[in-house]
Amino acid sequence: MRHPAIAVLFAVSSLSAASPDFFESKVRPLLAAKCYSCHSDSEMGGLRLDSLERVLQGGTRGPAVIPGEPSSSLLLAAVRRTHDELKMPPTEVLSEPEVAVLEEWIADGAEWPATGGSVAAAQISPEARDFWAFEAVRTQEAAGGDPAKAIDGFVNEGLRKAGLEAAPPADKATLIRRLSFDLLGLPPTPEETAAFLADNSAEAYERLIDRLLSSPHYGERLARHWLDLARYADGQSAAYADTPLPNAWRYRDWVIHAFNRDLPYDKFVVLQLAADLLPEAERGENLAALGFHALRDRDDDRVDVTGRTFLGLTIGCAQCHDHKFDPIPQTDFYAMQGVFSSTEDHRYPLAPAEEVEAYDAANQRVKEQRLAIDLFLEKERDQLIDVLMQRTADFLVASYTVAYRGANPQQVADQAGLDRETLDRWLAYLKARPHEHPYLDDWYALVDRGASPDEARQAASDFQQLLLSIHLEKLAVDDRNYVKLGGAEGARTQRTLLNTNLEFIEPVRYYLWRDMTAPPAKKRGLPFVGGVYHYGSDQIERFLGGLWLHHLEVQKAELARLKEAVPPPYPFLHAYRDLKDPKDARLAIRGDRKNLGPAVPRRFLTILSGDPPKPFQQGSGRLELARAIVSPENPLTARVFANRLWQWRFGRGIVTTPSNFGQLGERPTHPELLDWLASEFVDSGWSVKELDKTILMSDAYRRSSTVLAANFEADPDNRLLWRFNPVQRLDAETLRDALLAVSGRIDLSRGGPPQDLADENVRRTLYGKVDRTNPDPSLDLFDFPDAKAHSPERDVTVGPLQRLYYLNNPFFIQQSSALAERLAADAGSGPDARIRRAYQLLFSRKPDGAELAAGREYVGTDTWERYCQVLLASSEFLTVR
Amino acid sequence: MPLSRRDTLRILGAGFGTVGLADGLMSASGSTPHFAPRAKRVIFLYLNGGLSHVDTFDPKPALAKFDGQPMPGPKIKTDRASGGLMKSPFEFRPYGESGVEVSDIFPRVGSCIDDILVVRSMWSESVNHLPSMLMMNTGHALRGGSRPSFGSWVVYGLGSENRSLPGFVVLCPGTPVGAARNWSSSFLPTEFQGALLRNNAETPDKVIQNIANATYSRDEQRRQLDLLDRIDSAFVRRVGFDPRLESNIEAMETAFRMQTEAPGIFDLGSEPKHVRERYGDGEFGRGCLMALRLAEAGVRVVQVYYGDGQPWDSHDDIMTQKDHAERSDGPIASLIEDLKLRGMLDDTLVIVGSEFGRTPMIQNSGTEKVGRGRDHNPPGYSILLAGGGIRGGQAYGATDDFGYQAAVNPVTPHDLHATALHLLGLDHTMLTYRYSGRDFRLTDVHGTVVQDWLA
Repeated sequence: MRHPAIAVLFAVSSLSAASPDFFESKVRPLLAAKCYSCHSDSEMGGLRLDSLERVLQGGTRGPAVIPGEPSSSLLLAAVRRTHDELKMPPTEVLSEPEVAVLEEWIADGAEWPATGGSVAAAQISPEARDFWAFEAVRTQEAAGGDPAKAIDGFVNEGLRKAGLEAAPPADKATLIRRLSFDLLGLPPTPEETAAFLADNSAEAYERLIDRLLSSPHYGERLARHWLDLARYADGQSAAYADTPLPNAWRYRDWVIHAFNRDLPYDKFVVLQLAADLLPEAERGENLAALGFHALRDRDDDRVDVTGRTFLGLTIGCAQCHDHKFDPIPQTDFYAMQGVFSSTEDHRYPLAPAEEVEAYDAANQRVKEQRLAIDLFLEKERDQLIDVLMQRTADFLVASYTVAYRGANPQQVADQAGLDRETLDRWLAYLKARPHEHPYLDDWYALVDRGASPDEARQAASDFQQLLLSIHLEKLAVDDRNYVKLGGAEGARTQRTLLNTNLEFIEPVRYYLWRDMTAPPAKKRGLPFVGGVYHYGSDQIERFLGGLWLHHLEVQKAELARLKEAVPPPYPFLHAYRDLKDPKDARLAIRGDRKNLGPAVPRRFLTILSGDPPKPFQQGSGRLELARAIVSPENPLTARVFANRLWQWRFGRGIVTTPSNFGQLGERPTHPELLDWLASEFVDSGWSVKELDKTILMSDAYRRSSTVLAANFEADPDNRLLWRFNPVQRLDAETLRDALLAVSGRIDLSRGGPPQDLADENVRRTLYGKVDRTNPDPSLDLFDFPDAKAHSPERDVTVGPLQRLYYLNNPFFIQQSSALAERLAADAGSGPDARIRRAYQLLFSRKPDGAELAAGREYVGTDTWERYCQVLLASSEFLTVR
Repeated sequence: MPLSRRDTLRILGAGFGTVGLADGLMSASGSTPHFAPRAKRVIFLYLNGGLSHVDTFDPKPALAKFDGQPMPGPKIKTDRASGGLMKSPFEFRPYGESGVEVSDIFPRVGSCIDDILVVRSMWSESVNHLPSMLMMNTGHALRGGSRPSFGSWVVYGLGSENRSLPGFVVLCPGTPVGAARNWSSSFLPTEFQGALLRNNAETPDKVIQNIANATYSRDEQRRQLDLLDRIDSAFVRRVGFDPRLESNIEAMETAFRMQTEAPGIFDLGSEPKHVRERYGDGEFGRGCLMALRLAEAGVRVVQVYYGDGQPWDSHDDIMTQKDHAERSDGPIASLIEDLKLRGMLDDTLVIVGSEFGRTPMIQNSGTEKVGRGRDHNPPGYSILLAGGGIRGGQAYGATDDFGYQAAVNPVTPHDLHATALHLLGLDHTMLTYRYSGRDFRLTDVHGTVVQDWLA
């Protein structure tokens, strides 16, 4: 229901009699001091006096204030105590000057400054500000002064304090397998493993890292982590199936490329939020970066995902009320929402204007030609119905002669000059009784009791008369409806159709009319085979005479020619741009979009801004927002990303809630380490690869995953990093890629449009189609995240449904079989050589004697394919230590 | 620090609910009820598209009296153009000892009415299918995102009773509006997601993904498993103790067992002919019979969708409600009767409903042909509840004289969810999950247990 207060609000905001200062200095303090104890959150009598909406809406007795009319305003009657029952405040009589303030305020239109409504709430207390995440990043002195040893200094200090012993370093074979999966998402080849094992120099490990960091697959692996955060998909979710986003992959490829070329992270962020607003030189070939938000079309989701991805703040929690735990007032949410709602989706063509125009024009011509043909066929169809309907009595009599007199239908049709197919339709229709109308009841009664031909002829003639009169009535109703809809154009517009009240003939009469004339319809679950006299566009040609038929053929040939002439679709980017007139978003009171409060100026979060926060000046403010996010003043952005990279390497972040650095998130296990990483990151010019190398070079990363009993007792979750956290199960993409890699079938080509992950698709999983409405069932099975939402971590479930996949899935068995063939090709016919090869490929190590014996024994009586399947299903293959 | 429930699940990795967990851990991880439950399981029959309450379970004589006249009061904005009030083409009459009135297109449901609670005062807000379905199934009418479904919350709270089947099974012969969002686990761990099984699949082995091997014999697979067991055990010995590893091995045996046991449940041929006949051979009938068998096998929540798309969406012609009633009356009644016969109705909560009702007004927009349909009606609609601690043989609440709006004892999907959880022994305010910085629950900040529904 429309709220009367909203209408009033518009009226009020055009008045400017009272200044906002008057309200802020006189009215609000008075209301706050004398009224809010009962009329804000407690809402006594249903009344709130802390927003204009609620003041105008009033309580159970009606509006508290009528702007401009002090004498009719209940509020004034109550404080003056002239009302019969209401005398407010109950325990205190307001002074004359106080009453006068309220009277003046109401008389001048009850002005309530747009931003003022929340300014009070937006003040952040020093206690709220005093929280680790909002404090400046502290430049940490590396322990022992050696930056190369800094990470271990911090980690080992933690272990020392807790009295824990670090696990020994992992062996080299374990390390290269760990690094390959972590950095590339692929297992190392036996040759790579052998080379690394053979390199006994002190720099062997560093060289390996450098090689992996410069591999083109490095960007693919990191990009997939990032795409989880960006809720990347190749289609927009819809009721039954995704609406395709045919160029979404260009964003995916941009992310891959960005990580591969080590694009500084601050640029990486700015480009994704505001590439379109950068000067040409700075923008470069980076417009595709806008896919981050453009592939998901909801303003409120964009605010939330911006907050969680870059800042580790759950701004979305402030959509309905001030954040309950973090210093994020509700106005902050709308300040940022205004930025995104001042932005519209826009396609940037990646082709010259002529090409775009040519494509659009060619499509338009096809559309028009198709419409012309449809209109012609509709007219012919309707005429045919008129013609056939005039022979209804003849068809009925002919049907009677065939069905009751045993006559040959072809002879009957020929003699009476009737269309044979239509006669067959009549026979089928009459047989399929009862009908939804009663108009053939008399006919059936007559013929069932053995009518004479004359009687039948008379009844048939009566029926024809009735049918024709219904048909005329229907045509007349259609004619009037045509006018109501605004002619042919209106009748083709879904919105007009939905919103126009039309006339209808009686339903039973309609049923008869429909059974004779309507096109076939398959409403879900209930098919209608089509009217007896209805011949659709694919059936009607045989009724058309020479001139008409010739016309149709010419027109169809023209359509084919035009379709042929349509050039291939031009490439474009799914992106957005600023609206011409950017607008502040209005605060939705309690998150209710129907109950809008004041507009909130577009700006950055209060807690991360100067005091007071300055509204954005340029366009939507998106570029200013992006720059504020990567500003050196903002301690969160560097911390949040450093923590994510740590999480991707160690399986868990220093803050274990990587997208929530607020009160309800976890505190860092190693706060100094996190700050050290963050400041190194910024100092390096936001180089992701440098930060990554620093992490990977640490002893902490190189530890074995062995469980030490005493440590496990004290720190079972390994929060202090006394061991490496093993990967419990390869994630969905890595599993599929690893299967293809070891079977030798993998296609490592990079980039391009996505394909379904069908069994014969052997490209990396990253390049498979990501569907929001109907996710791929195999990816789903292995905890691929919901692509409708920002996903900071993957679930790792292991259960019987996954085991069924290992046992029976055709793709899994295909890879087993391909692996068996590969072993034979690589290692010849000797079983030991093949088993050794398999262990090198899958586990990066040699089998021991018992393993060789077990394999030999198995393939002695069973197939290599099934043996390979067992190895692929083994814990050693599916986990990373 | 005690392990969180999520960690416990991750470590022990019970793929289907919490069945893999030792009993002690189950109680520690919150998978026992908060208090003594009345119901152990739920069967939710979903009539997607919108059951017309004024033509089925909510008789409105005023519609006949004022047929064709505009509904009094301000003009209501419906989703599509609509006209005057329209009387129901069906007759209502009282059934059973309770005398609750049901229309003549649901005679067999009528004959079970003494076991059924008819809630006539449901209301919801959104006029469109998708948000209304999400409200009914997840308690949140989000446009774009997703929230965990009712079934996911229940299995998260209670785990499953069967080692060889998912805890939450969804039977659907096609795709309802919203597809997997209706049974999504969303931010709950994926093991609590509804497992979609196609109850129109030709053969039982098509119902569960990867349930059968196309070429290998059971003996060949047994040999594979024996070898795998040797290899994995050796691996565990080599890497030393690691709590996560062992469950991987156990899960393989469960899967192997499932291959034999699960398809049997979907083989309706094993039910006696006289039982099958009472459900008919339609998709929904088969779904209801499968639901019965799944419930017997210990599946915690079964949801059966009536059909593909939104079959009950009678915009054009209200008579299509009769066609769909013919296909669902027998199956619904048979399910309730058979649950009773098998002694399971007492602890099985049956819910029958849809996302909204249909308008008391005729719909006469330009998209229609017959012009005797009804539009979407979220402000007032009816659902049915039976078994599992529900007091049957009563009609609860009421809509206004015309059936437009819930007027007496209005209740929302949140109240339904709160009450259903209550019957399952779960306090809806205590069943929470920490995500994105706050505790989420099925009922958000809403929901009241409706005491009058309880036996």
